[in-house]
Amino acid sequence: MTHTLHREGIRESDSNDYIILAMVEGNNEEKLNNLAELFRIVLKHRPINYTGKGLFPDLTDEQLPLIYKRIKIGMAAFESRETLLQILQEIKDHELGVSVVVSGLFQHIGQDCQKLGLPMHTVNFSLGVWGKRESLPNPKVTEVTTMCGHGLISFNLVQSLLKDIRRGQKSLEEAAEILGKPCVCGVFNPIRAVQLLEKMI
Amino acid sequence: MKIDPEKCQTCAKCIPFCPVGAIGVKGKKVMIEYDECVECGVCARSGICPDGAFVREELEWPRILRAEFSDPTIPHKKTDIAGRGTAEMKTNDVTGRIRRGEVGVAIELGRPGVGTRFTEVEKVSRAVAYLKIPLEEANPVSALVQDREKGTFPPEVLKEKVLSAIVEFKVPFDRAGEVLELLRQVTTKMDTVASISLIGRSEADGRIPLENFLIQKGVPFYPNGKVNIGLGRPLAEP
Repeated sequence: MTHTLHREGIRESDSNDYIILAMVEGNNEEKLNNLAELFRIVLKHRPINYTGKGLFPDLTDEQLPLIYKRIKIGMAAFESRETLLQILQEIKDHELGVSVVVSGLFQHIGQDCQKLGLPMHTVNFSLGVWGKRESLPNPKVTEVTTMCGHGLISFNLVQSLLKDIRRGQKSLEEAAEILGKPCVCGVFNPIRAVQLLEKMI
Repeated sequence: MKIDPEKCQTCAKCIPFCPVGAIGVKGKKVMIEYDECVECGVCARSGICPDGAFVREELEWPRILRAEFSDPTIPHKKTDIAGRGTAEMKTNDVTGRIRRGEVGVAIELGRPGVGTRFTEVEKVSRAVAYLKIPLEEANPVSALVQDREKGTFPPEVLKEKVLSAIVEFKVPFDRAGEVLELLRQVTTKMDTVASISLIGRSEADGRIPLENFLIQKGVPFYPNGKVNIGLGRPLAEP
């Protein structure tokens, strides 16, 4: 899964979109326990979305890390760069030995890695969408839908909810919540979605 | 996925939720166009149906591929990884899958939100095979390739439709230009979209040669992306 790589429309001026992913390959029990520990740290910082939020809404912050241990991966979204920096510092200090991937503006990640004395070990660049681009809707719509890397948020749902908002049948926040539901990984950023929807109405 | 006609009250609220537009009204019934459905499960999981009319069937080969490639809650048997079944650079600090002097390539066909048949995926896998580039082993698309020399899939797979599928491989850095040219050619012949990504290691001094390469070649790339920050241990390559 290239979960958060191809998010469209992220700009320096309005960036409030950062995701932390941690993953273990294989069945090393110690590493998997450390993965759970890592997410105890992450969840303490109140992410705006996280893996399992939609699928298991009743699970507590103590139960969720055990899910991540079982599926060997977890993700969490934040709107604040300062919070991201704090979390990365804590993860680094705990020396958990688990692979961590950060998504956001390269410029910000580079600066933050430098502050923390961490390398940008491996970098994944998106070259955008090639091929039959005429199949795509208005780019404003894909700025919303590409916040789910698995493509589970339909273009039609964005259009349908925009109609509801214009008719006064739904608030921006209600629409953003509905849009985020199909994203089972929990990397959809509802705060950014509200801003994007507002620009479209 | 199917809709139980006895339970469905034709409210049609589910229609906009389908990522590939496979749900519609025919006559006075809400129906799923079976050949367009990618078995992603969004309709059933959304909770939008007040009547519980969605029915998930037991899927058989080759239709099961639709669910494996489209529903991220189902792990791929080959890699035991959910989602699109690949780890690429997420654990590269410990796996060393992509090393200095190499470029990782991931071509995700069907993304964003269009979907793809394996006929289109095969166009890419054949082109990669033509250049004699081996596919990444830990990848469910590679596992489907029947003839490695030709990059072809079993014929019964070709018409299956999925939300997206990733063709993944790596090349020595000096072949990156050749790969980009190949992708330019093959993507113009595809009946879908593809999201393209390249992966590169940083040097010991922090430089990222791949970034410089893209800038020099005038290849546009997004200002945002993913960075493995090297916290995994033991490191495969410092």
